[in-house]
Amino acid sequence: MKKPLRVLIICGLGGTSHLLAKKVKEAAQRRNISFDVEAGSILDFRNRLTQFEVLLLEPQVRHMKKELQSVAKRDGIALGAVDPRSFATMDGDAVLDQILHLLKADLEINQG
Amino acid sequence: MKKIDLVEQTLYRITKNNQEGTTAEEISSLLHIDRSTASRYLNQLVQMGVVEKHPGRPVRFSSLKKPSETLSRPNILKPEDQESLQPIVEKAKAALLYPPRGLPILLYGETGVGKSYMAGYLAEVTAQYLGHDLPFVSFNCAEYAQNPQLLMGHLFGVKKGAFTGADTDRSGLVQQANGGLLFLDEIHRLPEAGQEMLFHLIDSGYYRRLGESKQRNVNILLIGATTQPPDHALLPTLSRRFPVKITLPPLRKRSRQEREQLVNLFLSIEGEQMGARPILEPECREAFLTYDCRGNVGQLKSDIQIACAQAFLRRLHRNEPTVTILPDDLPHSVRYIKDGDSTDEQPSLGNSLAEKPPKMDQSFYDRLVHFQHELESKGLSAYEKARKLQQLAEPFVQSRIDSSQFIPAPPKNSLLEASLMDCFRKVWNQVEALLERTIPLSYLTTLALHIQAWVKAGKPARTDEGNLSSSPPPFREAAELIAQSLLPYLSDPLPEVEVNRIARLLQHGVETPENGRIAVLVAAHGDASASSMADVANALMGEQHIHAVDIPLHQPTTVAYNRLAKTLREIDEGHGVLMLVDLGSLTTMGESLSKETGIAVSTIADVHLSMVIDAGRRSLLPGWDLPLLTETIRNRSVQRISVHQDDSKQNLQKRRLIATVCLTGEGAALTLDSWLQEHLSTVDDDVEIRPVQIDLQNRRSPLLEHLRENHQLLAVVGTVQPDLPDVPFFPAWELLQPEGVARLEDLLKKTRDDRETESEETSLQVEEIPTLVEQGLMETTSHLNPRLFCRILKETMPSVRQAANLDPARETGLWMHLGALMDRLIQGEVPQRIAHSSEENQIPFALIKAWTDLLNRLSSAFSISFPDGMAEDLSRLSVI
Repeated sequence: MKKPLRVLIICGLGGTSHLLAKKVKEAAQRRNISFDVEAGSILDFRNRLTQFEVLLLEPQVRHMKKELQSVAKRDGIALGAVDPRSFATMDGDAVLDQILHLLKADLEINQG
Repeated sequence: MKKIDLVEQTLYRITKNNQEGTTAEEISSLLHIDRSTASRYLNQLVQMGVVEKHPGRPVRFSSLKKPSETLSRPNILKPEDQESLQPIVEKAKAALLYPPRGLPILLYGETGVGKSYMAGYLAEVTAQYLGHDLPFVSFNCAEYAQNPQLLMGHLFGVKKGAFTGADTDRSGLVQQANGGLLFLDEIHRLPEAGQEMLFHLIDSGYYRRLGESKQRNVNILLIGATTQPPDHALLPTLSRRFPVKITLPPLRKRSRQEREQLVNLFLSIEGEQMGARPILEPECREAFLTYDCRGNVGQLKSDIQIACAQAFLRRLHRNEPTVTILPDDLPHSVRYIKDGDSTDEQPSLGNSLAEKPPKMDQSFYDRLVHFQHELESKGLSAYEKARKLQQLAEPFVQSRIDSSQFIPAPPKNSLLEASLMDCFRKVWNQVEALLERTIPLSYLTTLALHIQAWVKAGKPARTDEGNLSSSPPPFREAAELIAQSLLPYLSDPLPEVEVNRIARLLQHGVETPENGRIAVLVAAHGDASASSMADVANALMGEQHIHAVDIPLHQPTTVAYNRLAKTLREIDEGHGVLMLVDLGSLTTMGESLSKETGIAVSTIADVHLSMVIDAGRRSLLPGWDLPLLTETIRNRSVQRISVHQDDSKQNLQKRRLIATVCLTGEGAALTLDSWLQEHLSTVDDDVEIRPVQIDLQNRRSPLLEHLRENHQLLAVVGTVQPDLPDVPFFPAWELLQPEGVARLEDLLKKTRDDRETESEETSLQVEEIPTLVEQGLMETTSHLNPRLFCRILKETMPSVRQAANLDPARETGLWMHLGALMDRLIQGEVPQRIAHSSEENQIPFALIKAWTDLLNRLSSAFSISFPDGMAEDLSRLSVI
């Protein structure tokens, strides 16, 4: 069996990201998508970053995107920021869609 | 007026406004002369003691006294002496002298009706009335229309450092016209930003130099001129600023007497230049009075100049006592139109393409006479002399002919390579001599197109024509002559079979002159859609054979039908007409038009520019019949459209790119690169930025072309506009202004696609946060009352927002964070503290205070206590 894709959602302290990760996991299960979604805080994610295929930043830490871009590029990690609206409403489905889009775009860029 | 006088007067005007005078550089750009020429004249003026030179770098010049002589114009035909212009002049005068400062005037009329002349005259009238000299500054906005930066800088002035290359403060024409009149010709070519600055100036009397924040005050009277209907061509806001709009009548609407006056005037002006009054043969006079002069007074003038130049030349080498204009001296357009109804020879071409003809002044005639003396002293034969003189005169006369017939010469973006046309031009006289007849210029184009297509197609050897009879000797000989002349253009000599083919083409062209073509007619809705497409195609082709009928939107179908029928009759050359139309009833009219007129008509719908060009190019070549041509064009346009769609699909997958350009790729391009990196929003992080070097000569760059192939090239930003017409260009200075930045942002926004999902994110407003977060907390928390929580935060958050300078997205994160944390606190969990290092930035006290207040509110509302250091942690979180 294929290893499930692993997604890391980051927030400031690992609080809200847990909530969101849970929501996304539920949404993925409902749709029968095999995803491993984890939460992390900006303090602890760096040393385990390379285990993930997708890295999502919550709105309060989205300013780190620029800084992380080069790392993400180097290690082939799809990097995105959670849409603030989906975040505020804890809309797991919307964030899942976002992750799928991100992966698709990443695939296209790497192939093209 | 001589150049040196012009320099003197200009300098005087400048010095009046600015004691320090100006530099040779500025004089040269104002008068459009060489910098070295300007400097030479200035130094001459210094020697004459009328101009003072201030040493320094750059050297400045200032005027010492008023130029002694105002223009002496002996031959003046005042507009008010011309009946049709009388009411116009009255109206304009009234506007100019309207208290307290006069009203701006907009002159509207076809090209060549005399708008500039009228403006100049009005300036004189105003000066006379006021009893003192006024500055009169005249500028054609089309001159720099390709470079808005230059145009606006020229007009309004530039502050040092406003953009790359602006290394000194420069005053603009607006400043120079202070206290007088500013005449802006082709005002519709002014970019929108310029039009806005202009109406601000009209309204308030204030303007700003580019890059300057200080407002400057001037007192000027504005006269604008345009060839386009003002309500369409100008911003409505600017159009309204011209309370007085004056339409100048075209030449064809003026009386024969007036036209005669004009002919006499131009003859006497030329006579003065030549030093001998020209004599006009009666039939030539008649021709000048009746021919269809689409370029109006301006063209009439240059046609007369051409005729005079030809006659003058003949007098020189035949030593005739008088300059007599014979029918042979007349330009083609004057000569051929006798019946008055044929328009084939001279279809109208849009005004925008007509350039102001170059000046053929006294010095031209002087040079001819001088050159003749020189030749005589060398003791050359009469024939040699004539030939040399002709060589000297040719470029002048040719340039007049080109401008008067609206054939851009040589068209810069022509479908034809200039070097190829040159080869043909050189040999054409010999070919004509050999075949003992004149061959129309259009045929030269045809042959050149043929050769070029042959070269481009990779020189396929056609074998199917070997058994055709070869052409008669003169054609064969002529073809060989042409083959010879093409050697410099081609790498290999033309093969035998091609020479044969040229011979046949020549034979065909000569034996079936002009009437052998399928006519092409473009008909489309709108005031100018059809004619502008036809104009562009004609200009590219250097030919005038594509016809156009514009159908205004509200014109009844029957009227349109009748106009089309009339045009078809006029343009058919016996081989049918290919109609390229846009949509609606036009697509179905062909059949009944064909029945009524008896002309074969076929129609292709959805016309677009490349279709028109394609049809025009092919119809020039012999060997087509109407069905075949129609089929070919139709197929090709389908191909093109599908190719185009593929392109756009590919673009979606390509990475977005902005190229920054300058001449070295290392100067402004790098600066702009880092500027963009810094200013692009995170949403556009995928956009790559690449500095590129551009070659000034051809404004191209192989790297740029490559990038365009492999990326979605959004825009080019920089100091040199590259030759990529379909890619938006942002001059560097534009990015220094809010409008420019907005335009770039707009472009970025449009090209964000769903590849980057966050691009779908619409920006979040602060006001939305409570509702959204309430919904989110409802979903995720079990013990917290989200409504109460959100109500308290709504009241208390503003002070935090202000202290930490939060954007809505980050603020939302903090709301959620705090909500989740409180949920856990209520359940009795103790949250971990943020580990922090000592080198972290100091947290502003105001921020901690704001969080503390907020937490106090929450703790009393929910009856919970927060652990120590909570406010500090939250503060830290708000500023990372």
